[in-house]
Amino acid sequence: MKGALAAGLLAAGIAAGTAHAQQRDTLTIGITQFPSTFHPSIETMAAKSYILGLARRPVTTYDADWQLTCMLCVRLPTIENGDAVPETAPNGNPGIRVTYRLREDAAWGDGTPVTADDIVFAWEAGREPLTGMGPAELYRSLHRIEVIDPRTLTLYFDKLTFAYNAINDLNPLPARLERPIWREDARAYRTRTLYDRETANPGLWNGPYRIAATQAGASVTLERNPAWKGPAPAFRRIVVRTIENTTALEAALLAGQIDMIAGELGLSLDQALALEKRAATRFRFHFQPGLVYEHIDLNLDMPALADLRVRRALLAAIDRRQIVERLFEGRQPVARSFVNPLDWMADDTIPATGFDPALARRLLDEAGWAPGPDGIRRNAAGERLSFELMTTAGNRSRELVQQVLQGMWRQVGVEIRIRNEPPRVFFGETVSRRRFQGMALFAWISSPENVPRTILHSTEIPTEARNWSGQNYTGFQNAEMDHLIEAIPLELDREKRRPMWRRVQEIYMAELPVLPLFFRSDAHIWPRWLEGVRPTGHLAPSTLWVEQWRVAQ
Amino acid sequence: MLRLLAGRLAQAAATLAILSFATFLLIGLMPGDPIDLAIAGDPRLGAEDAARLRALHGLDRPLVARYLAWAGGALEGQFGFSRLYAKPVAEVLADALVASLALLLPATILSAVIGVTLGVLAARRPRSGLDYAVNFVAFAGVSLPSFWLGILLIILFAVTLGWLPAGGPPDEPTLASWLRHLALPMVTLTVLGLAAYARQARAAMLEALADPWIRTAYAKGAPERAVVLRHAFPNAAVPVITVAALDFATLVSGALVTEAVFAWPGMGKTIYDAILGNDYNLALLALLLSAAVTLAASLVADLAQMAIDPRVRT
Amino acid sequence: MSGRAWRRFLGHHAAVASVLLLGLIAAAALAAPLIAAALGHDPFTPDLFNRYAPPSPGHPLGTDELGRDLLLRLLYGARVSLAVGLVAALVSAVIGTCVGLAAAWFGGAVDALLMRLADGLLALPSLPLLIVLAAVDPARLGLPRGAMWFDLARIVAIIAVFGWVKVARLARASALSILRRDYARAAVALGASGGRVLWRHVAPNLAAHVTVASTQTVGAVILLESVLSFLGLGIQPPTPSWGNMLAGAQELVFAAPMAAVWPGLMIFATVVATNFIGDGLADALDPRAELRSA
Repeated sequence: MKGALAAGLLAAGIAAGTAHAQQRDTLTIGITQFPSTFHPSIETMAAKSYILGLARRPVTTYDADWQLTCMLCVRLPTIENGDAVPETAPNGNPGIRVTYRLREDAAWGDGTPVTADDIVFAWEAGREPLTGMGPAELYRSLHRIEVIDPRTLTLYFDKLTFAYNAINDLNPLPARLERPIWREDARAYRTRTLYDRETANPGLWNGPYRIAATQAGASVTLERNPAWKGPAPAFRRIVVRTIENTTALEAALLAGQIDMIAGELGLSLDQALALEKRAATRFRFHFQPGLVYEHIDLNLDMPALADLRVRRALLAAIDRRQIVERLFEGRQPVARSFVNPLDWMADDTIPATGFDPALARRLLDEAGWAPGPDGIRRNAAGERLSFELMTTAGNRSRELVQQVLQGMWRQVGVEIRIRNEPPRVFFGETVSRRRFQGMALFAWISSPENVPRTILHSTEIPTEARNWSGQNYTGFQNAEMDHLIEAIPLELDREKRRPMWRRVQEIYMAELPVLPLFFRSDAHIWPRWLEGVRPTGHLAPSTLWVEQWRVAQ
Repeated sequence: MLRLLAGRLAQAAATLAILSFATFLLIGLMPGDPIDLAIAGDPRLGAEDAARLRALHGLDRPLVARYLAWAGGALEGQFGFSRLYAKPVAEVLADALVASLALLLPATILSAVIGVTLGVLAARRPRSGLDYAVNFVAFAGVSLPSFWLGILLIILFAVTLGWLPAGGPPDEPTLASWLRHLALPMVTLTVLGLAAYARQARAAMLEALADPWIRTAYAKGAPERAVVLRHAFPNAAVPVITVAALDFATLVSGALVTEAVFAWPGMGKTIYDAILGNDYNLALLALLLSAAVTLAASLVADLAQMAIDPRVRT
Repeated sequence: MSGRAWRRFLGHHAAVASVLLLGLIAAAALAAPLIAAALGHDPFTPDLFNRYAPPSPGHPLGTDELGRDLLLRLLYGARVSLAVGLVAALVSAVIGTCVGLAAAWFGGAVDALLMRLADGLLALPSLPLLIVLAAVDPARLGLPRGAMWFDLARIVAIIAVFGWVKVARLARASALSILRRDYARAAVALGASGGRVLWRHVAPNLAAHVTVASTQTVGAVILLESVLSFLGLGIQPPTPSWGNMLAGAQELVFAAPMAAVWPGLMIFATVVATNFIGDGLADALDPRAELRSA
């Protein structure tokens, strides 16, 4: 009798233990956006990039150590190992041909192997402007593809830059399924692609998971992909839920409806810091500094801002360290220039303008701005030293920073008028057409070792004649900077690029067309039982390495 | 009767046509091309990409040309493709409408039942403590900011007590899941909505109870409950039905704040996302659909009025 | 209002209490600069060392997300919210009265046109259209963008687009019933101009009903402003309004709930008060036929 009871209890105990381990076979992730399309190459969106990271792999990508790495290829083709050979392109420019060998075990969810033909199709579709795939420059400079065997292909580019082997945006598309749709009507491809019509089709996905179901605007359910031959992912099922209101998102986390919040698209830093104080026993918080560069563009057409002394004074008058300490608990590094401290070419030996209100006042006096009766400085003509500071409405962190800066600048006699607009107006009209009267506070998102051509080259200043293209909103024109921007991509030797990058940073920090603020950190929130998540800090989402996520023992 | 219906339908069609043009115009006045926004978010897209994408979406044609193209398609039943959801607009709205109805029908019925009950109880004892209490509850309901109430409910029931989920659509297509996810948004809408019913019911009941007919019934010795239910109540029903129809119609598009707080994928939220996302096709059809629902609701209300109370004929 | 009406109103305890409450809030709002001077700080300067501080002698209600005094921001916010509420209700009332009187006086085609317009507007989904109107870029119409007064004017204008309808119907019904009476018809027959008849006979009766309707509109407007601010389309910071204080506090509502509770409470109290006052007025003016909201 007792024996039977003991055996019964033991069996129950084992069953309970197993059940406990099995309980963790679903992971629910919360994010704040829902993708508008699931096609890998149409429209860039952080939400899409995050979800697709679970279900399809690119050929190459930057990893968490900011190094280029192979995902679908066997090894990175380089000039050193002979897989990449510089040559002269048909247009006469120096070009290069790069040979990739795809992995043997890469396969789409329906069992079809990933072959060179899938990349050829993606290229054909991307080259056709009517299809709507981007970025156009990639498809233009790749002028020819030679298929050597089903797993090997050579790409011919008509320009040679140091990033010659990074084809992160050239996503293979399942040719067997998608090509007939595209051939029928390229213009309507966008509305007919299986990625949106039949998102749960297994043949569309080559990653550790495949999308099994979607609920428009609300959630995406992913299941293990049987065709995946890499390391087995720990979870049988992953559900990604979209909750746009960050308060509701936090509530869902605390209520147990979701297990984790993706830092790439989650709570604001303020919120995460406050949550950490209350829930540190239940969750682990990781603040990953990233390539999001918060800064203030100065409109150099304004006479007051055209004076370098005024710009230096503006920077010297603000205590960015205090802002970061007080508002962000020190979790966001102060920016010296647009170059992220984690990027290899960051040079912190270059002298920078720090917090020095006395210096600011002296520079403003020298520039001819004398303190007025109400504390605001005036020049000889009686004009007040007053600027508009604009940013995106609804972004709490930015609004807080604005108001703090307003107070700090007032201390040295500069008047700031705050004016915010919804992002659509702000980016769509005010900033892109250089209509801001003074200062524009926003962020640039870039990739590792990104050459700042569109934001600093003198030919990239948006004008009506050029249809407002270009992102050099400040209007910065510096011949040496132009020359460096043109030369750096062509220099293949990293050590030779180092002094060129140093010079770029020196000019930027001396001329100050932009007031650098800080680099935004993403707040990742994980349950205590989850480990192995490695955020990258740049555009590649942490989900690209989901097969390394594990339940802690 | 038929002439009335025909007249109203003609009016409705005219209203919808004018509304469609006005909305198209207004959305066109909203700033920020969706393409510009996409460019700002992606450092690799350039000027040629912008021009190409604009042409692809037909955004480079003048406003009137675009409207006429849309109108032509609409008359044939083709409402276009939603840029935000990558699906035909009709499909997106069908899903959103179902979600909205699932939330609003129970909420409206609950508001009506509770509100009318409270109103009737208050009318029986005017100026009593009960009357004031009901008045206060009704006023409180209509004075609360909806997102404040929603967040308070989430804090109480989802976070602190853990009884109900904090929002979102149901996880599984089971009744239990639907009920659990509907509970909090429904309570929010009910609390906000019952004021109108309570006040209407109270006012109508007071007027009905003052009728000399009623006093005769009392004088003859009829029990109070019978008097209230059988004689006064039907007269009070008319304005209540009017309120119910209009209230429901307004909620179809107007519950968007509640839908946002609880992440409920209904019509209100869809309209809001479409408007701010410059998704012309979706915004237009969604607005027209809500307007059509409102027009239909007011017609239903008028018909019900005429059916119940033969004295009211336009 | 007649003496009897006054007495009935004063008998309505809740309404009287509401009048006192609103009076208190309005007085405090007007006295805000004095209170600011007494406390020694202003509601605009951030103090990063003092974020979300608990109540203290220097900060009776504590501080907000930037260390600004919460009480002062509530009072300055009261100015904005009450101003928007009153002005919007007033503008709606004026437009509505004019339209209603015109419809009643001219009758015929004018009446039909105006009432069709009113019905049409009622049929439209108001909140989404308000959002559309609020999101429109004024610069495309040649209007200035960004000044605070313009923001306020814009909200008032948008609300008035829908707000005039209820008052117009009320005014028209009231005017029609009076114009049909013998003394009014006599006045017209004796050669009195339209304006005179409207002013001497119609307006006094109208005023009471319009006041009641407008009082309730004030509450609705305050709520609407808070919704628009929640959606990011209302009054922009750093100008405080109860609506945008609520929107700003919602992110950290779990950590620092009072920053959200106070503005919400103010909105609630003010709107309840206006509703009670409206109810009291309605009751006082015409206790038998309770005015039904359209």
